[in-house]
Amino acid sequence: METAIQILFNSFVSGLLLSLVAIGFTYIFRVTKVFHLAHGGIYIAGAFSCWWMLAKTNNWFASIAFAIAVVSILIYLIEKTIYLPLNKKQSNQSISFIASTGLYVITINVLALFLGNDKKVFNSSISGSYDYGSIIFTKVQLFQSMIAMLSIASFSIYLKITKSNLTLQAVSDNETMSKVFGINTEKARVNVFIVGSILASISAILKMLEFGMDLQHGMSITLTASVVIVLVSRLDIGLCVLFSILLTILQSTIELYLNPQWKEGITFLILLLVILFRTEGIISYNLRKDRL
Amino acid sequence: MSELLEIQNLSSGYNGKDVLQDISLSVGKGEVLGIIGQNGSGKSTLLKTIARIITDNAGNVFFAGVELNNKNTWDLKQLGLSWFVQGGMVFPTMKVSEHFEFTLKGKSKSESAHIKENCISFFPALASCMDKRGGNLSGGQRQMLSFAMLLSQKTQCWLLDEPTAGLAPEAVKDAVDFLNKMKEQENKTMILVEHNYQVAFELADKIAVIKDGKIYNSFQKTEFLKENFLNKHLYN
Repeated sequence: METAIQILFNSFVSGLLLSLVAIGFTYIFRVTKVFHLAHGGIYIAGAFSCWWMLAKTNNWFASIAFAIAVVSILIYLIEKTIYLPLNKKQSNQSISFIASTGLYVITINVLALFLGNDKKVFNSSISGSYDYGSIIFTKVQLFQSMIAMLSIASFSIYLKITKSNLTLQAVSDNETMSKVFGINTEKARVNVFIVGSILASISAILKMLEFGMDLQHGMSITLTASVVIVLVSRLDIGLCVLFSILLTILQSTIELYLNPQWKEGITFLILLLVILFRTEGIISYNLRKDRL
Repeated sequence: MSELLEIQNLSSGYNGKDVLQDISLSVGKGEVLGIIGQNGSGKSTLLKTIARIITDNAGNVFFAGVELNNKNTWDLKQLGLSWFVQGGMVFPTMKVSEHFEFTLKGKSKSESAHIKENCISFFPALASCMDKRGGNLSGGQRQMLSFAMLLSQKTQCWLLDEPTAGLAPEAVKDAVDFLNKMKEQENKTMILVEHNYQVAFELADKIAVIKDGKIYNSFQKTEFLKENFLNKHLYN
């Protein structure tokens, strides 16, 4: 029982961190139709730029603000110089996917060149834990969940206040028609890329607090987030969070009872089964096939 | 009649290849211009160019004196110009009620309610499918919602790209009735691209025939209602 509670708690925290990446990835994919694999590079860029600034200034506020500025500028440049021109040329999704893969590799290479290949660790002042029998809640985990929930809530409130969800749903459904309704789709695309990237960098910084981070982690978490995209075919923050947590519970269970090496294999096996038997995703709009 | 929309020496196309060549046309306020022609003649390309979907063009388009060459598609609604997209103006995953919420975003509650009420008064059947998603509507319901969306935009000039395509005869009649009402009661200006020539003849004040990307000929209502018009001017 205690093991189960520990797994659930750990999965809940990891699931929240994954959901920050998955929400951004889902919104970017659904709105822009770009399978934005470079999200993994942005994720690492956020964490590493925060780490770099913290080492220079020892000021958390400045470091986080710096990381947010770096990823925002980076994704803005990527959108304006790569994705948007491809979109205007009406290139197909596989072209933007290849471009995104290239961008991921370039981002990681540049980070490795300037900051080195080694694992980066924060000198965090948050330490200690709360023990209840054999169940342990670390202070870092509590901090991670609090900030992650706050970020998710902030994004939800932002969408509600600006009434952006319908706009994004419209762009996701039909970009050309959205323009006819007066939507500046280029602005909508930039906004969704920037907000998605900020959420990913917050997740990366929080993750780095606990275990540190190497350059390869971005790809792994982005691929897991891509499973959420397939499972949830809607622009729905709540469902992204729910499926992220369920996915991490599954992964933790496999890790504990089977073999840690099977964790990602089984995750993607589920993805393939969903694609084969329910292409439109587990949670999707029930629409007439001839209209899809 | 003062000209609301003027097209001057317009050439445009795809991937650097011109589909339209040197088109000049004008439409006065409250006038309906029908564009007819065979498949691939460039009718839809003309509307897409006016609507700034195609931006690779030479020549100018002026709407209410404003040059459209340096405008984006999303600016046109504000200027008073709407494009009725071929296939209808329906978002598959949005509920009918959400379509109204989306198109009326930014308007006051009372203004939104008034516009919505006006739309429903034209298409009462929409009231019973507010919770249906666009992708689950029948052809007739899609058409009603599309016209309601057009109406809710409160624009002066409509670019209509085959608004009756794929509809059953009764739905075509409803569409023509609606557009006629808009012309008579609201004094809407329209450029109507139609495959169904009878629809074009019924609604238009003048007709332009496009052939191989050029204006082949244009006619006033008195001329195109004459017998054998199509045989004489389109099919030979």
